[in-house]
Amino acid sequence: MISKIRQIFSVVIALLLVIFPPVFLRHDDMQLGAEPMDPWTQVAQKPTPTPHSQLFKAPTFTNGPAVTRACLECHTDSGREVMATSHWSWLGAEVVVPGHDTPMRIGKKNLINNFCISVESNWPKCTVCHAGFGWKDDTFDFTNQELVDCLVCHDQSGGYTKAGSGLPAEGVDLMAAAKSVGRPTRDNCGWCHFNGGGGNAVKHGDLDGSLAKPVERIDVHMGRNNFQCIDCHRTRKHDISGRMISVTVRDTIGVHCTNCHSTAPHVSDRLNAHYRSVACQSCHIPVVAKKEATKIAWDWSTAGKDIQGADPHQYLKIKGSFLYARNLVPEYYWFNGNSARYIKGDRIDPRQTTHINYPLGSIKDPGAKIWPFKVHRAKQPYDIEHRYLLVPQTVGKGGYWSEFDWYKAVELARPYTGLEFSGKLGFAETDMFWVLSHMVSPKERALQCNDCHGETGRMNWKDLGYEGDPAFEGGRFQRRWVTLNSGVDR
Amino acid sequence: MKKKVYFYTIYERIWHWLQAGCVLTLLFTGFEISFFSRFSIIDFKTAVSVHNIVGMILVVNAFLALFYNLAGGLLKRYVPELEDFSPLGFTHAGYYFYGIFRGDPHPFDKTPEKRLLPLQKITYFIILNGLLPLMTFTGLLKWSMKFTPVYAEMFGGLSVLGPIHRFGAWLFLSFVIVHVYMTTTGHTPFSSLVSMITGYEYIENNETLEILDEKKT
Amino acid sequence: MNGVVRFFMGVMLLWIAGFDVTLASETPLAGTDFPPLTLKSPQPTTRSDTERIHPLVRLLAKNGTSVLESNAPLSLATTCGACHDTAYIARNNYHARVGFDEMTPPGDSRSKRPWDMGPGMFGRWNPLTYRVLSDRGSDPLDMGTADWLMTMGPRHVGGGPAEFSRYSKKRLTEIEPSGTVDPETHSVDPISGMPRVWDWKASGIMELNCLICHLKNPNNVERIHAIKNGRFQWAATATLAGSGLIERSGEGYRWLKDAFEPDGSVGPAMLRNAQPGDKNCRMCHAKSCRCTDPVVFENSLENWAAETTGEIFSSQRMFDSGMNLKDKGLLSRPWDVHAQRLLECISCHYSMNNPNYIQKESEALKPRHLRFDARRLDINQYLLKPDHNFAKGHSAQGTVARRLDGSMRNCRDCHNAAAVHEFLPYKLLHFEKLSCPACHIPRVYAPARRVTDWTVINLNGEPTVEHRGVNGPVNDPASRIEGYLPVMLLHEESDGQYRLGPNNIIVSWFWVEGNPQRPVRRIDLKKAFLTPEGAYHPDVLKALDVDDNGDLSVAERRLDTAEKVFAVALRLRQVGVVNPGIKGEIQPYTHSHGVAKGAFAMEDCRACHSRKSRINREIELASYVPGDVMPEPVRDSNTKFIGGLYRGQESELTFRPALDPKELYIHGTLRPQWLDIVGILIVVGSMAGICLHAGLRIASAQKRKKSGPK
Repeated sequence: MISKIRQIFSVVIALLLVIFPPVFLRHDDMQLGAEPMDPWTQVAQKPTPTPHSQLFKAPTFTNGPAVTRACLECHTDSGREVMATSHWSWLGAEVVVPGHDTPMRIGKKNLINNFCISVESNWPKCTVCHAGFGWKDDTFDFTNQELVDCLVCHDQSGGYTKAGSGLPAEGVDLMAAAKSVGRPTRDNCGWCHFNGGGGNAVKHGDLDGSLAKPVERIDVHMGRNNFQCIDCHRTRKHDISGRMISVTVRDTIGVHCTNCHSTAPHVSDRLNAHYRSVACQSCHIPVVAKKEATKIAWDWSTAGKDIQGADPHQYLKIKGSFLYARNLVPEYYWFNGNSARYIKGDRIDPRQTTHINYPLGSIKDPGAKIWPFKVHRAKQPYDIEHRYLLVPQTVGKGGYWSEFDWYKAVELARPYTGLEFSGKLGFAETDMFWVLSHMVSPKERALQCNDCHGETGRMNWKDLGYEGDPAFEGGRFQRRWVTLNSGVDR
Repeated sequence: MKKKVYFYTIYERIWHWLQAGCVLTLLFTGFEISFFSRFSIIDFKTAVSVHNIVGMILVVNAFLALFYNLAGGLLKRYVPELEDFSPLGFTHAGYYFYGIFRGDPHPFDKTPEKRLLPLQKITYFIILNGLLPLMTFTGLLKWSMKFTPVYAEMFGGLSVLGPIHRFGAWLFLSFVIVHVYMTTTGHTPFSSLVSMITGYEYIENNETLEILDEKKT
Repeated sequence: MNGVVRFFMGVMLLWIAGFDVTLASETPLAGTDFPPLTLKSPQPTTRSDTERIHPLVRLLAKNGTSVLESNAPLSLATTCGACHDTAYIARNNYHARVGFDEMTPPGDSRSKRPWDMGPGMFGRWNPLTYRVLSDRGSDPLDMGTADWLMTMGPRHVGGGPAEFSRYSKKRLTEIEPSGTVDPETHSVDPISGMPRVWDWKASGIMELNCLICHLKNPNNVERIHAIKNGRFQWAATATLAGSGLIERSGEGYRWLKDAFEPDGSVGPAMLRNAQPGDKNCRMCHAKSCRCTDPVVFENSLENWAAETTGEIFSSQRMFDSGMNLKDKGLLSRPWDVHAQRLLECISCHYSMNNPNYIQKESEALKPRHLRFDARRLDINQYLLKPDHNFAKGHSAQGTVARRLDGSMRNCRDCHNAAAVHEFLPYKLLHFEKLSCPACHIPRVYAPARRVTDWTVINLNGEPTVEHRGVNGPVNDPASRIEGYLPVMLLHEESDGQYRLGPNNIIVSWFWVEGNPQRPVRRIDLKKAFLTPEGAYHPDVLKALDVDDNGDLSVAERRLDTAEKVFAVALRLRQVGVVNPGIKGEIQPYTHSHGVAKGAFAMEDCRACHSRKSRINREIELASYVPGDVMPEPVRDSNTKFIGGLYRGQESELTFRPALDPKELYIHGTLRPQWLDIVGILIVVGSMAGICLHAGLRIASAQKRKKSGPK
């Protein structure tokens, strides 16, 4: 009698022989292939909320910093954390801007754009959207953590608003706001970011008030799945990820679709092959400004006239004439993540359009892809002799918006901007490029083949550097037609 | 005196239960494929795939068992002889038709060498050498349709193979029902079941025990 | 400055330089009402126009002189014939010949109808268009050649029967009237129905019209107008209306000298000739549409493919269409995936000697040692003699040029089905028995015609028409379009195999007369049903007007009793129809377009493998059967109609497929057969047996216990 162990062993072997071959050598009907990565596994966990309604001893708060002091009692590091971020300093880390020698810190604090032009000299109005209290001039104390405004991001009462210099508006119940604090929602971020450029939907094109409670057709993440901004813009120690090429030149802290989604998420191989040269956003954001029109052009040179009955979306005395567009089809350019930026004082050629910023990359750059952009075109003041763009003071006493005198406005701003004014002012054409990543449509509405390729396509292939439509002529790296002797046996 | 005697080796038991499991799975998935609209618990394509795979397992299992028995010279005990039909068969049948109701002792005693009762030998012989090959053969032919219709067409195509395979399934189903019932006709209703799990049968009959003892010495 | 910075500076300069130069205004504009934006608004991206390299073309008349000199109709055979072999093109062109070269004596064609003379539009009768092309000796005449041109000419490209006689090799203009009524020399008066001589010299003939297909913007409306009014020779000229080369002048046209070059030639920019695009094909095969607009479907005979099948070849997503579709919000797929993927009609239906499209030469002709033969027609040879017998599929309704069936690329020539379809068990078996469209055209989302009933006509002389797939009147925007499940029929494919594929079925009923049989002429139907003033004839009203309101509603225009049939037949006899009877016909229309990609195709096994399988479900073909005449399938469709026609509860006509399990054995659809019954009985018997046995055992054991141990 063979030993028990041997018996069992031989039985096990027999079983393996019986079961394994049919299962593993089966003719493959059942696909046991890998499932594509489930994006939900990458979404951050939400922390459990702690109600603050019983936590405050004082009967009321008299001013913003008083609230901040109360917050800092428990959240001792938060003040310093915020002060280390660009939401506080309005400056990025030191960086070498293409075309310039020395590394510098650039940001909203010191850059020129082609909307309201510059923050410098106009602080009281611009800093309504600063995450701090009282930045009314160039003497603001950036080292005082009690001036950090916690409520603008954390208030959930809906009643907190800010006014000039970032101070809480008149009549705001600070205690109610403080008691309501929680994880920031779209309403918190959107209070500022939806209204850039002076009003709802003006600036970005893909960020406006319709995202507060969107249907899924406007944005699938926010509409269908109620994503808050910080679900994608992950935040550690108050350092919120994400960047815009209006104020940054490098992609160090950007948010990417691939943070959650796979790099080959489509069933179709053909679509996945587009990943090499086309950004996800290009196909999945077919139009922006879906509900509210966005500003696409702004001519400062026509400002200053009294025109009866002018439609504020076409002309304002303080600002000039505009062009708005809804259901805006983006413009498409190569972008490798880095961009160039006009720095205050850079020389311009007034005969040509000056690019305040523009995406870097080209068809030959393997790191570049085709991205969708909203392009804002403007005409703004420049110094004819020095040949650089000028910064006017628009806000406050003597500013352009009170006195409609360009020369005075530029002079008033000079001590803050450091831009010498020759006395000769003209208007130069400029443009700014805004990368689009929001207002992602549901996949049923993504662009189809014929939306870009073929006769009805929206792409300008020649401008992008292609010889012709790549669907017919081949892509930028791969030849489409191979010879018979390429080793492929047909 | 009851004595515990080792009847079924571990391989035989595993073979039996694996066979049983395969047959039941095949019956279940097979009926689901045939009568999908009335009877759909798992989805169609899983049923088809499982049916194919388990069918293969069954075939391999059967062949391995054949080899095991051949190599061990054990085939003889499965082959019915003339006397198994008559008179032994009738005696055996008679027990089930009236003897069992009278409480009579079982007319035959099993020993490890003579482990199959006459009717069992006949039935199993037909099943293992008739019905199982028929099912396997028709099943394989139907499976070959996946690659080419040639072989299935040689035997009349699916319209012939299908009904035959299904009829065989009905027969197999009735075999399973009767077989499971018959296991309750042992010493106690569950004793046969237990022996097929543990491998040990209880032998009461003294004569048999003596024979066994003799064998040992 | 280090290299990196220099590089970026260079890039920046390049970018700045690359943009357009505009002059910046240095001072604000002086007072205007709304100061216009002085900026350049972004322009829509320019589409790369295909460069036109076609040389200048002198537009010539038939006699070879410039049209500017003679003001004669444009002769494309002469004009284009200067460089292209137009005679070859017209000869090798089943669009032109439409069965002209396949004609047979009446009754001998594949369809076996006694009045059919061929397989194409010229000779094969279609109940939708109804008029019959008459043969020599037919009395009375229904359509002479000239009538055919005026009726069918709008959907005919010219040449073939529009140019030549079918009885001799002469041109139609060269035939002399013989004195007897002859379909080639006579036409039928639309009011009286009597034959009259047709003046071919005045009307001219219709040459093959290159411009319909080869112009970017041909004027089909103008062309149809010319044809319907019998001005055949002006059809080609009319196609140029709106191009700036001609203008209307009275009943004819006048060439605009200024648009021409001094030597009478025209450049491609003016002519805008190009290779045929979808727009050109759609002019005859479906309603023309500018497909960036929401698709709106119109049921009319001008939209032929859509009317007969419900197919829409468009890249637009269904939920973006302008139609009232059921569950529209869920329909995110495009109407046709190939249209979405940039394929055009000519991608599959190409000219068969076009070097661009030929890839494989016949295996039978290739010697064993050759894998590929590089000797091809060069472009010049092709352009001289392009074969206009386009690659065609093998649909039930494509009866013309059946010898060319299956010459086009079929699904398998482009797609590798075996490499995908991982979800499908027994892949190859499915591909053996099912055509690709069986699963990839899972549903048709637009309405299609299902019945054409000529047994009673309306006040406009039109038949009663039913559509499937729509709830309500068919061209009413408020009607809800539900679409329909296509009928699965076995159809012969190019490899000789019969495979199940999706179809629409149109059933037609019509009056026939005479011996040899032929459909009663429309004009005779009008005479029978209507008075000369255009109202219903009192006898007809008496028989059919049930609610006595003096008008016949759609429900009343049904011959659902023997009395009504008799009354109408009587009326027909009164107007001279000999031996009238009702005949019914079933014509399948194979679906080939409206294809869905894998994600939208049929993936549910239960669709076929269940008792309610769509392969053998009962389908309603018509809501009534006029005269109780059961229709018969046409004989030349290469489609098998296996099953029976039944009348339902409300006298509707239904079709119940009854596929032979020997041909197509589908698991899960078959009812239990006798073997199953026997098997089940055995199982039930054994269960009953063991229950009985067990019961008896238990009972006897109890008894024994009671009586004590022995």
